[in-house]
Amino acid sequence: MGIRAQRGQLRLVDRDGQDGAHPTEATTTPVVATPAPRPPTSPPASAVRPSAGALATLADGPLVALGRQGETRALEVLYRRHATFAIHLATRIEGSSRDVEDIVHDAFLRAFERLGDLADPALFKSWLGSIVVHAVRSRLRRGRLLTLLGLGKSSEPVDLDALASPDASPDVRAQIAQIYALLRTLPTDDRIAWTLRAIEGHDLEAAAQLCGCSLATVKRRIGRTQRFLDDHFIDATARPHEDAEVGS
Amino acid sequence: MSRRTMPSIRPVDLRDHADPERVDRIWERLDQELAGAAPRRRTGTAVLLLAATLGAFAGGVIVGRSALRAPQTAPVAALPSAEGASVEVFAAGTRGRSFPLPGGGRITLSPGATVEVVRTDAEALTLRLVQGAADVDTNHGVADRAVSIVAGDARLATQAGSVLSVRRDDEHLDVTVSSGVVSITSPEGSQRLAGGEHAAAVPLHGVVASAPSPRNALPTRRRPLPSSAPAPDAGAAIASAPDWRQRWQEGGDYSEAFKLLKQQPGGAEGAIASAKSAEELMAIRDLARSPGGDNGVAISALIRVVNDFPGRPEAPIAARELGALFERAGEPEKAAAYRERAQSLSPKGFWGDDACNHIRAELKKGRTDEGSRAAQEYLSKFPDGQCKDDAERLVRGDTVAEPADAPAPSARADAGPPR
Repeated sequence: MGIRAQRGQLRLVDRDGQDGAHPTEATTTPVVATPAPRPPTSPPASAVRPSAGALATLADGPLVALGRQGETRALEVLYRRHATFAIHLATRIEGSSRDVEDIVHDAFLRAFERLGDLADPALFKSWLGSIVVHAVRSRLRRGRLLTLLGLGKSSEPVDLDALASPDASPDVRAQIAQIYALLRTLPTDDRIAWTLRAIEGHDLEAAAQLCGCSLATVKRRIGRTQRFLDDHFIDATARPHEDAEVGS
Repeated sequence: MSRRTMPSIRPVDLRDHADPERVDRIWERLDQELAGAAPRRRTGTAVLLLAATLGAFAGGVIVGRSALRAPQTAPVAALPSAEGASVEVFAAGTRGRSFPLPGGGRITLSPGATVEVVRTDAEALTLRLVQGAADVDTNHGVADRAVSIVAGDARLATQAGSVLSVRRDDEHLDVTVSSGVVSITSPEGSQRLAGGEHAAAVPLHGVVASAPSPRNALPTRRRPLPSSAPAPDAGAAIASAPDWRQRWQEGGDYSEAFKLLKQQPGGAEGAIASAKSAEELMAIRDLARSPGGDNGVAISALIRVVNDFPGRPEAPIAARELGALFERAGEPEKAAAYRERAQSLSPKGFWGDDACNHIRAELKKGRTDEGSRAAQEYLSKFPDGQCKDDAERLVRGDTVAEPADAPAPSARADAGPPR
């Protein structure tokens, strides 16, 4: 790890983008992948035209390097490795699966077209995540704008099947419905920050990075949302004596 | 209605949308674009963006002007009913919330209330009051559209233009009608309320049924009723309905009864929509599964049993049968959902269905001794079970007809001819 100064901030970057670290480890230590002009990294000589099986064993860094050289199979491996992450992220932030295919498609396309902007190829996943978050935020804001202009729907029912597992109990499904209904009343940025932290399970640094804001800002957004939900959530399944216990 | 700190959401309770088909579908689009895309230049993108912005602005101006010129009395179109539509829910926290209803009108939820959209199309809007209270204003909705609110075994039926308030707890429903006429059907009976009238403590569950908790609403994926035929006026349907039932009950002529059923106002779907009881729906299911019948009609009837009569003993049976039908139709996701629904509707078992199956399996294998033993055990556990007659005959040593093709045992399995 090293430190690189960017946009007036000190941020952690990985010195070696091709150290073979598994890609899923990237988000647990979220490090920024701020666009920065950088010459394409050449893949190892042995990986110039690797077989499909060999590609699947490569970490994100080498795959990104191959992708920059136009190796579509490497892009497909990257896509298939992170598609689930992107789909879940988009669905849970937006609270609907209606546009998820478009969002994920656009996010991957944008990522693949701008692989050269990726400062650290090993951090493809978190970089992709920030693109997905940005895409969802744009859609949510567009929806709000349309509503303000009287061209959209002021409020819609929660698409529960898009959110809750068929295996979830009815109580849990009712809770999820209410939580998402409450989230819809909040500012887009607050809602996204809280969803990343409380539902997607990202740590604060990762949430900040995905949101494209500072740690302090994301903490403030999450705290604000949590307080609102705590204040306004009603659990119909709680019995009076449980309330007493909570209140005591 | 209680408050406490909000529970956390476990990842396992959230739906997994990354099914292989979706992942493949997105990749196909990507692959095509990656293969055909030339390297993009940012300056070109900027120009395109600018052009698109100007174009959108100009388009907006044109659309806005034409919209202002359009007559303001344009009817509100109902949302189309989509096959396999997902469950949509209105929910409120500590503050009351107001939502536009699909197809027009408005619903205002009291704090803590949850309302599920069961069905919405041009003919009908059906809402399920899961918990709490709601004010429903169906003014400005689609004219002549039937509006129903379901809570437990109780059902309110009205037409667009009515204004009413409903409140429920675990056992009862209160209804206040501000305008319009509302018909209430509950295990206690039926009544009609006009504007300014109020009904208190309408029971939500029959005494016989093993009523599930109202929390057992919000089922997993369900399909709205097919809407190919217009929903008939309930009164008219009741008046003209007995033909097919008479033919079925007295004559035993399933084929003819099914034909008569299809001739009801609104056809078979109309009969299903206007059916007042789970038993009536199961009778329709029996006819539809007879030779010359229509499995689609059977499925519609069974779905209504599950959705609208979840407290009735027929509901878990219908859900289980739906699971088998969807499995056979190559729709494993729906099949699994309905099997799970069956389990949630009857967590303690299926009134001896498994035992029934066991008896029949023993008979099929020719092991009458074992079958007789199982039948005795069955009768001791389920003295009024659906296999009671067969079990008693078996214990007496009589021959028992083996039911053919019973995908899921049904309360009326013996009444309907095998297919």
